[in-house]
Amino acid sequence: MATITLDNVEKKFGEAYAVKPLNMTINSGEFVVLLGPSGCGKTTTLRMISGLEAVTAGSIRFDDRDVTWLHPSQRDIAFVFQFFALYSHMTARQNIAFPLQAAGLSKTEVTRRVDDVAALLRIRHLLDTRPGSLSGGDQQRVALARALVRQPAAFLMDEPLGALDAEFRETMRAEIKRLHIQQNATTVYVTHDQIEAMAMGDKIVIMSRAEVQQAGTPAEVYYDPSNLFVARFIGSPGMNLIEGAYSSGTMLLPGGNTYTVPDAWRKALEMSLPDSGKVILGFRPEAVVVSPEGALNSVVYADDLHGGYSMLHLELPDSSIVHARVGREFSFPIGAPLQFDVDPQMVRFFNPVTEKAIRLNGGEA
Amino acid sequence: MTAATQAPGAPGSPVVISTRVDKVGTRPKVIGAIRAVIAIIIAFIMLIPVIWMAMTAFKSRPEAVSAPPVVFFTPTLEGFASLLTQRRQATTAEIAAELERTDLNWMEQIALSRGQLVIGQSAFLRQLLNSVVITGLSTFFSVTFAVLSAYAFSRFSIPGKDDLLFFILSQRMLPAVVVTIPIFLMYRTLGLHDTHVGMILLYTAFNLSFAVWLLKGFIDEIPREYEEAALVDGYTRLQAFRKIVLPQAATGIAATTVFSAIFSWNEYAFALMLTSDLARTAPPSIPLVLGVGGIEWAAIAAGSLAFLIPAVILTFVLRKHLLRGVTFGAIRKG
Repeated sequence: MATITLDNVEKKFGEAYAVKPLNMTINSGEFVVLLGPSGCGKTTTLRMISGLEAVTAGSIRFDDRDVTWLHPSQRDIAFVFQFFALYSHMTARQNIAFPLQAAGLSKTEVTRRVDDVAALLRIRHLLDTRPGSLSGGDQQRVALARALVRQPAAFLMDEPLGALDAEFRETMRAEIKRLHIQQNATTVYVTHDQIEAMAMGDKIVIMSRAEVQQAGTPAEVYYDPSNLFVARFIGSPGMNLIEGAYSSGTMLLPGGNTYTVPDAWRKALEMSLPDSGKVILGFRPEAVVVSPEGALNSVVYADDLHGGYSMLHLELPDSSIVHARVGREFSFPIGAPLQFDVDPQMVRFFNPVTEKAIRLNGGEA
Repeated sequence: MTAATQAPGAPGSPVVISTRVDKVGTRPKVIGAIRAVIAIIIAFIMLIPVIWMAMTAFKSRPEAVSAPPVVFFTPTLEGFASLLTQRRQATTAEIAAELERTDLNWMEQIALSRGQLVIGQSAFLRQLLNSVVITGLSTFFSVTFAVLSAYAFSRFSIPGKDDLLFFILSQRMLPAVVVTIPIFLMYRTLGLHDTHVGMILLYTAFNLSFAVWLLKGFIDEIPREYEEAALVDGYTRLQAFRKIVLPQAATGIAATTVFSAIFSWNEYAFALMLTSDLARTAPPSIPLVLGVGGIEWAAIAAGSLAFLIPAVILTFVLRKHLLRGVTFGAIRKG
């Protein structure tokens, strides 16, 4: 399994950037998810790694091998497509054997390897079926088998679960994750589904507007988003963001609420903020602590039970909405006044001008 | 009193009517029968000229021209004999001599019964062979070139792509009659007049524009992911084209083949002007099967019937591909 290094890789269509110069290292055996809204350049990045799309500038290396200008067939990669791309004129077995035949393996070896991978994916009974008569999940298993059978340097997957029903998606997500662990295969996985990204990735690379917004572990991007885009994009709903003015230890929020900034953050804010003291307060819905002594006033706007928990929609005095995740045993009538606090461990601050997160040491992300 | 104790059909017993549509037997059956009858009637109406032609081919000369037309008659091979032979009027002495012979074949016998002698084979079989050769090769070349260029137009960004496609289409815009004279002059200068090469070249060029457009549509329908999957799996683009694109485009190739072949097979105007003897194809020669003393309608019908058969065979062989217009692909459109 190879380590993939992207060095200032960029892609332009005419004058417009599809991917701005990008540096990234995907370590051997790592599962990296490229996550972002559609049109953010994540698929283009993946296709440049595969060689299906030529780079405009920069270089791509697999270990020490420069593959920037190699044909896809020479890169030793396997690609799983969103719509499977199984050949309808071949049986499942012929589909899986197809990459091995390109390598010119002997017939017995091909049969053995196809049988092995079919056993791994539990599709042996489907080998003589044509893709057209398989279910979506089984089609994707065949597509995965075709990728796995060759033991390539890296797996590239472009929204492989996007075309599946929700029910299959859960199952296949677990299967892909398990396969990745078994094979210890370097995997680059593209998705727009953040739940998939959080669940599967060792590392998540969040892209937007042709740029990497943040790269980090799922915990890092969730708890320490490096900018407002990531804060809003990760989590459902995303981070609560309230703009206010900081001065000497407190933050004046619109509508009259006053938030006392935790001691740990005061120095950082004083160091990094402009004179106006404008700052954005951010906290996850689960950081809300409802208590009668809470410093922040709100009115219950709506209260949804999600089974395992309740999601409160709280209206602040300036009519902006804050989402709060509370235990399922709590329920509040609509219109009731409610006081809450924010867990000081889970508070984050952002600079409204640069949109970047302020770090505890006073620097910006 | 419960319903179960009563005999079925007895007065007062519950009337059991199934309301399930698939259990209602008679109506769908009637509709099916009506449909079949209508289909047969339409097919019959469409086929009347062909049936009439086939009948005429087996009629004797007086039956073929009789008014009112004869529907029931004793079939004869006179028409075919006239089509395949050249004959002359025999003298009484020659007829007597011929009658002595026992080694006459069927054509000679038919000729003799009409007081004629067979003096040689007609050109019809050679003209039919010319048609087969010219149609076969021109179809092969136009479909081959069209697959390659349609693939290129479909997959690559070619500078001036739309203009080129329009240019290709424009090859087909002038009717044959308009361009025959200049082509005739060109061909005479180039020594292509009345040659197989000349006709193959012309039909290939003429079919190409249509074939490119038709095939481009079919190839556009094949998802790019198919080839991309083959490319990352270790195949070159040409291998991917051969192993993936060609089988996927089989339907389109079959359709294009039939259309191109039928065009070349039926082409009349160019063939009439640009061939005279060596490379003359069947269409311009069939109406010219002149008998001795009058038009041989039976022979013309026999020629038309023979001419029809290869086209029917080709369509029949490729019917599976023509009917299977949709590939049951494993690509799901999102």
